Amino acid sequence: MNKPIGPPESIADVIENPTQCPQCGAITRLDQRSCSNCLLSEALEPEGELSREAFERILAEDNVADDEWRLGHYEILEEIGRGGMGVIYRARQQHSRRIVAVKRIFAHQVNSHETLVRFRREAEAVASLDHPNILPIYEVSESEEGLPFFSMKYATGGSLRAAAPALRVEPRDCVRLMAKVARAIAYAHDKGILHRDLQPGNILLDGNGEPMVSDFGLAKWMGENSDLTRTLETLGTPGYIAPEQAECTAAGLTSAADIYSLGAILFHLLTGRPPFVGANVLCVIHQAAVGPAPRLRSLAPSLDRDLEIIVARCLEPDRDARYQSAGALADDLEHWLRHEPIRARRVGIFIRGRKWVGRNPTTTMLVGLLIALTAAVGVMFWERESPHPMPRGVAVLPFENLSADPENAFFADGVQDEILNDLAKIADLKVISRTSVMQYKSGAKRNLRHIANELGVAHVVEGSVQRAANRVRVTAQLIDARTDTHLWVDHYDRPLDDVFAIQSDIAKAIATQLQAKLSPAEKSAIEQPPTKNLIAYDRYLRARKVRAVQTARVPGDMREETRLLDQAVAYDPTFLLAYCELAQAHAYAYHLGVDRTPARVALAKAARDAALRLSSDRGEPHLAAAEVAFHCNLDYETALTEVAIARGKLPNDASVFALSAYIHRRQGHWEDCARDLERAVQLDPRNVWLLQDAAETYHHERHFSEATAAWDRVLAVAPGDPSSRVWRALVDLDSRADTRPAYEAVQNIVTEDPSAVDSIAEHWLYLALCRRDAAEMGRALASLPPEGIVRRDLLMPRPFCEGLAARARGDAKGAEAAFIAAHVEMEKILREQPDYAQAFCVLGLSDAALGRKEDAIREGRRALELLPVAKDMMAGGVVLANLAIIYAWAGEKDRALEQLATAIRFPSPEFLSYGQLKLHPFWDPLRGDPRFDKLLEESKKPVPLK
Amino acid sequence: MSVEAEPRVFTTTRWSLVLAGANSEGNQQNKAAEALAELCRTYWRPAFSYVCRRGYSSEDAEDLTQDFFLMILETNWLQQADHGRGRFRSLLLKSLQNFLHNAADKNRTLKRGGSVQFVSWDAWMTEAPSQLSISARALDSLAPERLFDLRWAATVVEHALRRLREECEGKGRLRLFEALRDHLAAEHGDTSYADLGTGLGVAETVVKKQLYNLRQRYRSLLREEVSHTVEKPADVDDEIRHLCAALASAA
Repeated sequence: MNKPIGPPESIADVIENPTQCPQCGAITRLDQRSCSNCLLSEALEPEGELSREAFERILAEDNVADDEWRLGHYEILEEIGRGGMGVIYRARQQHSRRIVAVKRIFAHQVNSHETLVRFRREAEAVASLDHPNILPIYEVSESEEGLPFFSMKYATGGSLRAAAPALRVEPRDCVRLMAKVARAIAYAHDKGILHRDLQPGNILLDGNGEPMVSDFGLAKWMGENSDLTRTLETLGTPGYIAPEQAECTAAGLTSAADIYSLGAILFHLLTGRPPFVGANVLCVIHQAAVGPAPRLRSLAPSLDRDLEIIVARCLEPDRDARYQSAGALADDLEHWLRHEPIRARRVGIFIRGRKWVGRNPTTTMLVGLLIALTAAVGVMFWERESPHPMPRGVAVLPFENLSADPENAFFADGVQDEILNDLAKIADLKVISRTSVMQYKSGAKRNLRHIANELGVAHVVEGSVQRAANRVRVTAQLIDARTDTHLWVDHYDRPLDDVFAIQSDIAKAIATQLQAKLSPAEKSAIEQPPTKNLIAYDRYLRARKVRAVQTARVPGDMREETRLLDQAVAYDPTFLLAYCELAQAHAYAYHLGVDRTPARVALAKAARDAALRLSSDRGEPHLAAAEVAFHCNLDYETALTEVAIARGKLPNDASVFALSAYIHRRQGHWEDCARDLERAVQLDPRNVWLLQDAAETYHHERHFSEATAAWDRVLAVAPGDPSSRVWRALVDLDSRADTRPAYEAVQNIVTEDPSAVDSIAEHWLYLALCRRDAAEMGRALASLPPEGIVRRDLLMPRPFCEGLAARARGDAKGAEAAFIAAHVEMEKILREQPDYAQAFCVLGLSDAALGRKEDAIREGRRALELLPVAKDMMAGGVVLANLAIIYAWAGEKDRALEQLATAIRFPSPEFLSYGQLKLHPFWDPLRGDPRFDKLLEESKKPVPLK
Repeated sequence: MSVEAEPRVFTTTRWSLVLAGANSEGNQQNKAAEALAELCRTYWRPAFSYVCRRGYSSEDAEDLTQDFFLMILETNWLQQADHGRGRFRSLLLKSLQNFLHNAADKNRTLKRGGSVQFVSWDAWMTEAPSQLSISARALDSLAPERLFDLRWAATVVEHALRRLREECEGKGRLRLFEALRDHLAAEHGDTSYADLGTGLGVAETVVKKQLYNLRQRYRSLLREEVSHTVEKPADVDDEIRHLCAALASAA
């Protein structure tokens, strides 16, 4: 209380749409009405000045009635507050000149008998109290109009609400003060009076900082029945009122309600906020009823356990579990001050457990679902490995951009992204990855509980960013989405350079709120800013945005992405993350066939090396190294080693787990693959690509029930996605040779959205071939892209597809022409890329179709040499199957069947399901052979596990 | 400071007292110290706003502002200050800039608390809080120095108004003050003397007369406030114009 300067305030009140003064055009105002400039300019008027005496003499000449400014024999000086029923003034007692506070009832409430009664009751009740820490009432009287009022001591120290921030640095002062308040309340209780509205605004301070409880506005004689109706206004102040106050009649309340409020006030003093905060009164009351209150030390970790226990005991939702009297509370507070053991410890107060379970159906339901899925898929889930039933989960949702300039939307995204990345470094937290959260755009109304459910977390972070000139304002809040409780909020207004510090502060604050353990390494990683150069950061953010909005990997986008990243590292050659992204971008360009040249690989490696030179401690360079090793070299050993390092440092990065899964998949480690994919999905549950990858994996491995569930999961997130719909339907084709669902799906899509056919053309052709439907084949071919089907594992150029279709419908001439064209095309490609195994597959099949047996077999074997399953189980599986087909078309039945028997043991995209073997023209030469039938039966089973 | 505000008596400007007492001792020095304390008590808010605008958090700004004023009041500030003197406002700003510059480098070792309380809690509570409003854009775009001047200008006006109010209140004319307060600045079209008369229960002519009265007194108080921060009476007009420019620039 000895601070010389007044309480902190903003620099000025901000008005959004200032109106100009009609006189001078200025827009600053005093008291929101007068133009400050005009007021000041008065001083320049030439009309002379006036002494005080002259002024007062003139004032006195006219009797401008000042009646209202008297109540009884009190001269009203100014209004200092408004309560629920009346006004409070600072006033001067006429005779003694003593300054007092006067409370009177609102004129417009005079007619309410209820109000008058209540008011009088308060006055009488409190006037009977005589305690050093209860604000004394001097007089209860009535004005000339019959309005009751009373006068009381004027507390010059203001209220506890205003003094709270200053007090917070001295917990002992807070406790000392509240011990006195508790004693005062105990005294009032002994006299049969409940306060019912204890809150910081009602605890006033005298000039020495001594607390005085005032405003027994809802005081009630204990034991007296009252049938006064309760309105929300007169319930007490939300945030500090006991949960039962919302439910009980006045008669049902006990001293326990005041004890709750005392605990809430102490909580506020020590942490800076009441136990429950919320968007509105009802929300807060509801939370208090559901409970439990946050632990004191979750907000103020430096406080000790005993204090936490004391406060917790006051805030028990069950009033029988609280201190039985305000005196007992005061005792314990005083014990604490004297460093003596507190009583609350001895009583078993943790009955929270049973209440908790009953009140959290959402969490239990989620866990149940996940476990059910576990059972179906048969892989280990994260939960089983960790000690918590459900890791602390949080999702950082897109922040709102409040800047005037819409260009800054990506800046706001960048802030959110950094916070997310910082939090993701904490192993003790589960943090949802970016792709999933970006779907919940700010601006639209967000149902947080719904979102949290979809993402599988309990908490969300929301915020806003405003960037103007060289400053940035960030607001962030942490919300328990299950109960819509705001757990933490903070505002930052700093120079732009500080934006990284803001992000890491927010991340650390959230981690504290969620009681996540933070290792020193994690802390250090969070505090490290990505770059010091804001222009570099700008480029980096733009590059990330380009990647984020891509729906398909388009060469133009990739160029733009790498261009921006190149600029970023040019501006800041120490920008680690930019190098990592650059390495990944180049590696993807190679991997996806956008640019399969050695030059591209070199670029990827250069960026990776630069990243590793900058830091080999961080996870990101190792992830980049893993991507390069995997996508560019198929070097699984290195990739897995690097991924393992990355996983240790980036425990919440879905892409780390996804990459790990893909590596395992290529190596044929099916269980590891599925486990890692599921982990990735948990971290990024709305990432459609990831979900599709998972579903496709199950599909290729012929785990069709899992595949069905997994495709349904994709469709739950992206219900309209055409290719997923068809895939889902293909499960029936592949598992049971039933083409109808797929046929219907395709027809529906073609009808609903003709523009979507190019995304399903490949499946359509496959389906049409299986159905031997020439017309459909034609339509499917028409919707193929000009280059045909070009994927990593599968190459089927257009002429080849045409050849297949022609052959299937018995058009020998057409087939011949097409396969010759395919041949020419493949030769051309192989001149440039002589080690392109898939090209050899196509070449070999074409030659087989054209009757060039030796060439075909040689080419097929060459493909196998280039891409054995040992090197890449998925692509290699395709090559194996391909060779079987070559043998079959070349008339080498035995070798074909032998080859097929081998191939069937490996996962193979679109080649070797039961349905395919049964229906596809590829396998026509083998039909009827009992060995083939045997293999058909084999193919019903899943790919054998390794 | 007693809660019942004593009427203030000024015979000479505070700043001139401070300047006079800079190199003196004894009674004159005491008077100088008092005068300086009074000035700081009045004008701490512009300093605080400046520190905030310089990018410090609210808590840090409070600490820094407090330390700054302690430094001013406890050391022989004026003697050490640049003798190009001039006005209190500009000297204060310059000192504050230097102070912040130095504070950034080293830990602040000035102790707090102690016996200097130039704004006591009681006085704070009985003074009305500052009510300046400004557009968001202006707040964002104004340089800290301009904001300092703007807040200074607002403080001058607020103090003058507050004193006027107290004088009215002391004579039982608070209601009159409240009713006419919005019309103190030069005549504009929407002053309806008839309406005001009705509201106050007096004739229109009375309203006109008392408004003129209030305005005159207000101008005196305003000029007096400004004069307390300059050395020579001749500087008052110039200072006022400077402050007007500061307020107008927020447009």
